[in-house]
Amino acid sequence: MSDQERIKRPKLDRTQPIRTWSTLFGAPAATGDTERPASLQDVVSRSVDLGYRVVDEYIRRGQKAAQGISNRSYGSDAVSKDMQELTGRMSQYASELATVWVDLLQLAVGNALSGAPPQGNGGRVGTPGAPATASTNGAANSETLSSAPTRVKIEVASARFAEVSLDLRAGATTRPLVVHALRAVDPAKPRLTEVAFKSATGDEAASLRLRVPADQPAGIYNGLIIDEETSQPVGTVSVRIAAE
Amino acid sequence: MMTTTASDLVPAMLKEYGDITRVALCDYLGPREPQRHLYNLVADYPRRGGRMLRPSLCIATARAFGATREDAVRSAVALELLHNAFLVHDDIEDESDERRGRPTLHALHGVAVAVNVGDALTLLGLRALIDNRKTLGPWLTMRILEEAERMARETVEGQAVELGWRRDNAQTLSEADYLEMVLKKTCWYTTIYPSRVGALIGTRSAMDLDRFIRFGFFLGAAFQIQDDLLNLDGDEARYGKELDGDIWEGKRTLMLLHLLCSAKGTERTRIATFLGQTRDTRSRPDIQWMRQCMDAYGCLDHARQVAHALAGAALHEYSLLYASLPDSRDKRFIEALATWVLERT
Repeated sequence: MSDQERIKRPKLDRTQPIRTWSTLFGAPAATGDTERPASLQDVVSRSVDLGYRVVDEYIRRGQKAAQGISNRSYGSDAVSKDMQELTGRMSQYASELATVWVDLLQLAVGNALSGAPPQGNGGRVGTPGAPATASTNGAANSETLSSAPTRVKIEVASARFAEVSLDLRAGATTRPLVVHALRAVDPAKPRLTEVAFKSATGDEAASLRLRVPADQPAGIYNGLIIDEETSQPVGTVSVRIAAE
Repeated sequence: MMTTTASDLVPAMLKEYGDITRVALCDYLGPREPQRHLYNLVADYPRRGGRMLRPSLCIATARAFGATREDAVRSAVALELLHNAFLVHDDIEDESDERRGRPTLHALHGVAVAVNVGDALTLLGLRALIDNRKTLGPWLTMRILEEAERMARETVEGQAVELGWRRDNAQTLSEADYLEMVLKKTCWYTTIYPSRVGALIGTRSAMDLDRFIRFGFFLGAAFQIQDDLLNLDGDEARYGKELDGDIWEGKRTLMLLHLLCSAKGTERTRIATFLGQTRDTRSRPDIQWMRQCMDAYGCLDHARQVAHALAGAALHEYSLLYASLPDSRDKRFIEALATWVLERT
C-alpha cells in the first residue's frame, strides 16, 4: 500500500441525465447562486416550443395509429357500407311488413268467417332446394284451416344464391292458388314473373316453382299468394337474391 | 352604449350556459329508486356547483359554428355528468378529503359506495349522449359517442400515467413528460373534447377535428397549471379543496418537477425521502418545508411563466381556428378563456 492518498473521483451531483427542456438549448437553467436565472423571455419561448413539440408529436402518433385502424373509422367508406346495410334492412323491413299485412288480412277474414276473436298469426319458413313447411298456430277459421303441418316443396332455378321465405295459411295448400309476380321495393327493378304454385293433391305435396333470370338485379322481392276462388290473399313469398 | 369586457364576459357566459346545463341536468338527476343509496348521492357533486367551464365551452363552440343551444345542451349535460364521475373516482384515487368546500363523497359514504356513484354518473352521461338522437339524428349521435369514447380513453390513460408516477415514486420526469400527461388527463376532457364536440354539432361533422387538439392542449395545460398553483397559493374558501393538498398527495406538478430539478445535496435527499412516504406518514412540518423550498427556488413563479406562455400559444391557435367565423359573443367568450384561466382565483 502506498502512503499517498488515493485519488478518487469526486462524488457526482447526479447519476442520471436531466431529462428536461432546459437542457435542450445548452446548460441547465438556474439552479444555484453561481448560475444565471432563466429570463422570462427564455421561459416563454422554451415553454411554447416544448408545448408545440409535445402536442405535434402526440398528433403525429395519433395519425399513425389512425392509419393502422382506418378501416374501423367512421369515414366515407364506412358511411357507404352503412348505406348498403340500411338499404338491405329497408328491404327486409318491407318484406316483413308485407307479411304482417297478410297476417292482418288473415285475421280479418278469419274473424269475418268465424266471428271469433283473433288468436294468433301464421308462421313462416322455406329453404331453397329442400321441403319447406309453413305452419300456423291455429289462427282464424277453424272450419277451413287445419292444424296439421303443411308441406310445401320449393324448387328454385337460379344461377346465384337465392333465399326463399314462404308464409302460407295452414290448409291453403289444397286450395287453387296463384302467385303474383314478385317485386322489389325499388320500382325500377324488373319483377320476377316465372313463379307458380301447384296445389297439393292426394299424397303429393304442394310445390312452389321459381326461376330467377340470370340478369335479375340483386335484392329482395315479395309477392302475394291468392286463393283463386275467393280472391283472398293467403300468404306471401319472399326471395332474396344475392349479388354476384 | 355598454360594452362587455373580456373579464366580464367569461363569468357572464359561464353563468348563462351553466344555468341552461343545470336545468337540463335535472332530467338525469331527478329522484328515483334506489334514492337513498344511489340517486341522492349521484346528485351530490353536481349540486355542489362548479364553474361549468366544459359545458359552456361545448355550447359556445357549437353556437360559434352556427348551431342552436338546444343542439348542444345534451352533450353539455353529458360532459358535466362525466366530469363529476371523474371527480368522484379521482378523489378516491388521490385520497382527497375535500371537494368544492365539503368532504369528498368517499369520506362521507365510504369507498365502495362512492365507486358505485361514480359508475352511475358515467352511465347517466352515456344516456344523455344517446338522447342526442332526438335532436341530432343517429349518425351525428354516433360520431359524438365515438368522440366521448376517445375522450374517456385519453383521460384514463393520463390518469394511469400520473398514478403510476406516484406509485413508482418517479423523480426524473421532464416537463415534456408532464405536459404529455396533462394533455391526456386534463386537456382532453376539459378543452379538447368540448371544442371538438361543439364543432361537430355546429358544422355537422364537416370539419377536421384534429385542428382543435393544439388549441385545446394549450388552453387546458394553462388551466391545469393555474389549478395546481391555486392549490398552493389560492384562497381555500374559493378554491374548495385543501391548500397544499397536492404536496400531501405527492402529485407530480410542474412546481414539484422544478423543485426536483433545482434542489441539490441534502435537500434533494430529503425531498426524495418525502416522496417515498405514503400520504398518512407525511407530516405537516415536512409539507411546510417542501412549500418553503418551492418558494426559495422560484417554482411557483416558473410555473406561472409557463402557464402564461401556454395561454399565449392558445390565443395564437384560437386565431387560426376561428378567424374565418363571423364575430359573435360566443367567439369572444372562447377567446377570452385564454386569459380567464390565468386570472381565476
